[in-house]
Amino acid sequence: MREHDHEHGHPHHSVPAGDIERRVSSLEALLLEKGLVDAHAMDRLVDTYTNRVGPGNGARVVARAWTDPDYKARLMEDATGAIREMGYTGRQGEHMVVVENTEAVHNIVVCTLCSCYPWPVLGLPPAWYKSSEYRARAVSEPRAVLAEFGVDLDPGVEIRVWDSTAEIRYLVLPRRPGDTEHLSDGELAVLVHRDAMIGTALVEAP
Amino acid sequence: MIEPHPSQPRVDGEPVFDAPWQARTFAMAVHLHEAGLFTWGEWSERLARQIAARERLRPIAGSDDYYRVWQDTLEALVAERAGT
Repeated sequence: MREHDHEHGHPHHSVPAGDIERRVSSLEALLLEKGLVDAHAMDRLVDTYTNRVGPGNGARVVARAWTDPDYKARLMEDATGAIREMGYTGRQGEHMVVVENTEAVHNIVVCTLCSCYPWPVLGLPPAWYKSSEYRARAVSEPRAVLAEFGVDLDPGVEIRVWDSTAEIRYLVLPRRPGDTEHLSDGELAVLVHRDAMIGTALVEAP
Repeated sequence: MIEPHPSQPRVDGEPVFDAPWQARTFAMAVHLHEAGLFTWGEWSERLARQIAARERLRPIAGSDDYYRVWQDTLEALVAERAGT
């Protein structure tokens, strides 16, 4: 495992990967033995979060909000309910708030303390969302962070930073790009990438 | 520098977990929470505390670092709540 780590250029100061693998599998063995976890339930969870839940759900919510004003009104008023309406429910989506990007305001989401994130609509967070650097700098210098992500905002645009918690999860409603009036919801959803719903990207016209 | 998306396609192309052990420790915590061993609020608070302790030593750079802290949190909570 050491060779593997070195290939990827981040050696782990003192803990070889084999140790963590052993710790995880012995904890699982212990929990199985005590009947505290069920192997099939574990497999289902891994499958769900590896293969089934992802930002495609959030993208469909965004596309519908762009094309259906009544839906958008419900989404802004009660995001949890409007997202549930689309069939996206479950863990870490119990209390959702949608924040809308406009000409004057750009929203960006972070979890400063850990990694709270709206799983039902975005899946699990990307590596950078969990990093110390993003969690600190999204708050201290959001404009610089956005520039590193390739988002250059007009200096007049206000940036609002939303700190997710175990209680409230935020989803950014990005601005709809111009010249997309002819596109269907399904075609629009394809344009909406994960980062745009965290606030670290804009949605581009095709 | 934050490295948001190393290359195109920048979305949905990255694996959710970098290694199978990350998926297992993730699933154990969710499963134990659903079994009632702890609330998600308790979990987040404990995880945040472990993350803060770890960050006093060195930053969390990515999923490997992050799920190691996750596993530390889980081991401590299990020891406390399940008497292991």
